[in-house]
Amino acid sequence: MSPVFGHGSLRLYLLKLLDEAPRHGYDLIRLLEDRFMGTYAPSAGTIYPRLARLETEGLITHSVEDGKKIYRLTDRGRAELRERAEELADLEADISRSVHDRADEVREQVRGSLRDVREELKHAARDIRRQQRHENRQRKLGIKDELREAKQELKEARQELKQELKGPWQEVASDWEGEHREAHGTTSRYGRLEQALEEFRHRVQAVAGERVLTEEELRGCLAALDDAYDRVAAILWRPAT
Amino acid sequence: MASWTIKEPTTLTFDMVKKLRIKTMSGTVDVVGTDTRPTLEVTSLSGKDLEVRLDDDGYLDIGYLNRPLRWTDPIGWIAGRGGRTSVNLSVAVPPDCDIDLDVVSVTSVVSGIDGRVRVNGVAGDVTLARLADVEAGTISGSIEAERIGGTFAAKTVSGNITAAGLSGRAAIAETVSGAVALDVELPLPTMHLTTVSGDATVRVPHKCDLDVRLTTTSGQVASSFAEIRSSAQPGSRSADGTIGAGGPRLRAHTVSGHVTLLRRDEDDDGPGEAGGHDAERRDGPVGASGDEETQ
Repeated sequence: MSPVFGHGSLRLYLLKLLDEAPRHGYDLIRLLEDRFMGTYAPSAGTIYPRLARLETEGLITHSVEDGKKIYRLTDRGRAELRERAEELADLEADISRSVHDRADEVREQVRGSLRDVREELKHAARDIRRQQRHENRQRKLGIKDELREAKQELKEARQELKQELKGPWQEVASDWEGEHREAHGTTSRYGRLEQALEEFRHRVQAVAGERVLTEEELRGCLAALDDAYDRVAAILWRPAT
Repeated sequence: MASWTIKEPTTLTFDMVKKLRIKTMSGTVDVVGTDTRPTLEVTSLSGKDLEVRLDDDGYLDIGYLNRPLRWTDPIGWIAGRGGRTSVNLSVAVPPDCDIDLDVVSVTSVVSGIDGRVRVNGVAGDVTLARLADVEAGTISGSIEAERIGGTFAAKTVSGNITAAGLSGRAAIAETVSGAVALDVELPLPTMHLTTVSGDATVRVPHKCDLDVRLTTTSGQVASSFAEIRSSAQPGSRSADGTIGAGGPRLRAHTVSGHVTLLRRDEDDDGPGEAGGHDAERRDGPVGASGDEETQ
């Protein structure tokens, strides 16, 4: 936005304001601010020197009321205002043009700040929703975790029980093993006997197989076998059949 | 009664305006409250001539008055059946003026008015600043408001509604698919937010008294206040509770949009909004529940 007042315009506008009514310095500042809708806020430092100059030029004069200087337009001041009526009209047109500028400024300002607010709220809301979802999930996970822990405890208890039972069972097992070995030993001696019998048969066959047996020889052999059987049976405590 | 027919960009000034009514189809409308003489400034104009009428009671009418806008066919104007009629105008009126805008695809600004403001638009965005009571409605245009000291009522179909610095009696925001975001300085006695698919978000001061009820059909409800308890049944989720001493009522409902109640950071609360006594009373449970959350 271009500066509201060109050179000499502020001076003219001050005259115009004092033409409307006598005013003190602060009033003039406030009025200027209002008329430019806040876009132009003259400071006391710019107004008072100008008022002083206007006074030395004889365009305005002042009186003191309640300790405040009240400025009013002189006839010379009014004459100057009349001479510059056209200039004043242009100036007022300039000021009214700033309505549009002012509105644009308001629009930009409101849009900018509300865009920020909207973004801020959007992000904050998203964070909160995310946090809440996370908490819910944690709660559900908590239940799952408890379940998993219970399973683990059960498993451990089972293993402990196994360990505890392992000692006695091993003793039992070794007892059984010994008995089994003993039993196995018995069988093996019987085997040797069987083996010996088999060998005996082979040896007899080997001697007998090469010749034709006579009745006498056969009878003698059978008697010897019967005799051997009786002696073996006598050792094994088996009654003869 | 005085009347003007405006054919080209121009500036008019008036002695007294108490009520302003503007009806335009496209372009921009600015209304600014000011102590200067009431002024109408037309910066650009195309299509039909703009008519201006000021009656003896200070009732200023600006627009296409001989052919009133037919609200039954807004799409017709947007599609161009209304011709290439477009105007950019700015009006300065006294702050106590009542404002009534009936516009179609017009971007509008209303600022610095203490009287009642009503904006009825279709496609243009509406910007509202430093107003008292305001009622604004659009179809697809967004509504943005800052520093509303009275009742703020906004209604859109697809436009977003955003407001900050609300400090009046009530805030009512309704939309179908737009999002609603409200940032309130002090809880208003009545705050109603309604959307169908848009999200509804409200931010309130860190320390405040509020009676809250947030509901949604299929969205998510969330709040940064530990006092607010949420519950869910099939087909509806809600969160309600009382913050501080209760009193001001916040009601928000959506169908599928999310509903969120946010709490401003403690440092961002303006001075003097809550007394030290109140602050102590409320800090206790808040701190305790904060610990719970971190566990």
